[in-house]
Amino acid sequence: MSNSRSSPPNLQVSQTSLQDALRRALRDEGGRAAVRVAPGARPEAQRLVFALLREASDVKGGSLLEITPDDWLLTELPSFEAGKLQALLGKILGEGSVKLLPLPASKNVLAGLLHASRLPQFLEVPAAELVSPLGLDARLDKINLAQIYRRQNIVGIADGRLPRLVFQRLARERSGLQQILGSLAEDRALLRHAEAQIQKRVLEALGDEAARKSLMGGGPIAPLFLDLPPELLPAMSPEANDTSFPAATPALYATLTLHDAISISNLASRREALHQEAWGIAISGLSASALSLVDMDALPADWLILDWSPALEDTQALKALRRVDRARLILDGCNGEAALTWGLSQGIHLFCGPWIEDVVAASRMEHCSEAELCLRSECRARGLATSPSGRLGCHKPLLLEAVLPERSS
Amino acid sequence: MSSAKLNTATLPAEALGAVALSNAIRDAVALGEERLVLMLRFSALPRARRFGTRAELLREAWEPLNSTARVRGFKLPGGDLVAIGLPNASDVLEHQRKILFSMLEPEEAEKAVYMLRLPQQAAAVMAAVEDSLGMVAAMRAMTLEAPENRVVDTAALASAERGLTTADLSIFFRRQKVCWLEPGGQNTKLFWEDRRAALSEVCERLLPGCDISLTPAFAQRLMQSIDRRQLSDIARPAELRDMRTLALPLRVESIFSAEFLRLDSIIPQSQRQKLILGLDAEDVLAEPDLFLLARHFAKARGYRLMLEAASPFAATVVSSLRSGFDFLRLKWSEEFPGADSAATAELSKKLAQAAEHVVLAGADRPAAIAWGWEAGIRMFQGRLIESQRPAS
Repeated sequence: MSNSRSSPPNLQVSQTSLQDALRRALRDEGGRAAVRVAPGARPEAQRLVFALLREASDVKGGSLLEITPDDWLLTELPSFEAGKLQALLGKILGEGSVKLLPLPASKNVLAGLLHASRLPQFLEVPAAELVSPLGLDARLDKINLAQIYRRQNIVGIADGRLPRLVFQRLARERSGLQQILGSLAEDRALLRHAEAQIQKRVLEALGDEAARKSLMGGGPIAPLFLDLPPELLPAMSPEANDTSFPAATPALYATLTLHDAISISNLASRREALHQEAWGIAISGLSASALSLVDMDALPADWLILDWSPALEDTQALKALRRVDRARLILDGCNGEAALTWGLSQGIHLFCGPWIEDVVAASRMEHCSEAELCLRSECRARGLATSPSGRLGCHKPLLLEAVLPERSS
Repeated sequence: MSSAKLNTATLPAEALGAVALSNAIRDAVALGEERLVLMLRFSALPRARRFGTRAELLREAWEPLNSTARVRGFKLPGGDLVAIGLPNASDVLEHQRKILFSMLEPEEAEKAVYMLRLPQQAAAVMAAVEDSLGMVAAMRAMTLEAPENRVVDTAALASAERGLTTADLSIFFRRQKVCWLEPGGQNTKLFWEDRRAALSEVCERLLPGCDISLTPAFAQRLMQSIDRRQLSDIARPAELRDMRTLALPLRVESIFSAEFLRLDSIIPQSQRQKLILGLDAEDVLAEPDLFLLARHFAKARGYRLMLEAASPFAATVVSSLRSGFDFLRLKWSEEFPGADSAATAELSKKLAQAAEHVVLAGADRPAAIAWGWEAGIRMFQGRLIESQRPAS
């Protein structure tokens, strides 16, 4: 089978028949409707919607067109089938994503497409191919941790006072690893495997003084949050089982994703034992959708890290939050004042995210006698950097090391 | 809960102590100012010394430093105590150091109590602070033992996946009955068949000598391949025509595979409710948005959903009813609390509204069924159930 899609004669044919398909749908025959749907950007949703549309069009006619990648059209179906399809897609994607266009009443919409500057195309969604894992090991070996890790900050904001540094977090930049892995990262399992391998390397680096200094830009300043896969949690030492001793306040927080956390069947007792060793547990990845599925108060963690999105303002998410001790919550992913305002209104006072890093850099520059030599963006990038070269150019390295200085009283 | 009540007192004090200390040290170094640093490092003491009365006495002996003029006290997360003083506070600090020293065995005191000078000994002070901040613990954590079995690498995974496409998988599938079983043995009924692949056996065949549990993400990928094979096996007209109620464990992603979509397009509407799709709690939470999409689809088409929890803990975290599942499948193991224990009472309280929808798998021993009955569960799966003769 040669790929003939791009050759001119075929293109001609396909455009003609595409116009034919639209013209056919424009005929003056009642009892029909077109279905217009916005499948969203998720490849899984697109494959699913495509399968359902094709099933309908295979049986009852009509053509499948892609107007834009997120605007699809099934040119015609008998009204009954069109209504059924609309109801089905509405249940899956939400009613706002599907529209029924009764024909010929709505034929202006279809006619408009005929004369659009960018003609629709026949819709084709290829089946997902299994991404080969070969090459992943080599790609992972080449990764320099400083490329994808950032020295982030969790700050406390309360009472309108200046933000204070409370915790540090050594974490991956969200898209860094995906970019390096390219198509390999399209496979969730491979991406998760890569994450676990990288997390192991970070833990090893932290055990080596020189590597640690390089990553952290000097000594650590505050208790550190570190993303870990469950298999890297410190083993339970026999004496750690003895919880008759009062626990130390954790200095290091193993940050587990929600799904990893529930894979540890004895997480509650592990956490108590870890407290004896000055380790704590934080659970990350609590998005608005995750909140609708879990009982947060059943999670044995010192800190619960919420993922900010406006969806957190939904009543269901708020209901789930109501039962949790606010003093255990950290709002991650703060990208602007809206996040902060929402967090404060919910009684949350610990924040992190890109916008927080802006605030940190700005406060640092206020303390810095050489501030006029640098841009805010430079100071911000150097503060987040996890390698000496990333910090180059700073005139006040001690201040940079201190992250967010406080005026000593 | 109004925001007016908030104040910095709710921020974790020890974390702030560490930050303040780091800043104070860096300030002194940057300005070249002289400072004396007294440290009491509980973390350097033997475990038993860190707690109890002796430790309490040490903390009491430290207490005056927190209110001494020209001295600032800090409490670190690991419990260590640090005081920084101006040069003219050296007498007080030295006096205090001697008291602390005398309270410990000499060799312990050497390790746990010391006085350093800034800016000359800044590196030593920072190193001690770093230790107090838990880096020692991080290093302990990385002394992971090398696994006994071989770790699966990507080449092995790729070859196993090639093997899967041709292997006869039927020998790896375990079929078990799920039955309704009441105390006293009345009304025993067959509800459905549970059909699942034994991953350990698949791996024994395709990845000899390897331990797939060391690479959980690879295990997930293999299970996806197995899902797809199984879905295409079921999507045969003969199989669908005679299909009895069947529980099928699937990865969330498998619901969007070409194989499932094909099955969905040919299965008669009336048969869909006979298919119970089992989704693992971990998998559900790995991509909540994808799960929600899968759930909307499955519900709209009439399939039933079963939440599979690997442990009682997972079952208490994911709320099966609120998450839209028709059933919850728990796997009994020796780790389960005893039938009449408080832990069981706690778990059954959480399961209470759902007990009739709960399947207890792993019912290979009477203890499992006893536990299940105690918790209100009536649906069981396991070797003991295989020998039951249901009425229907």
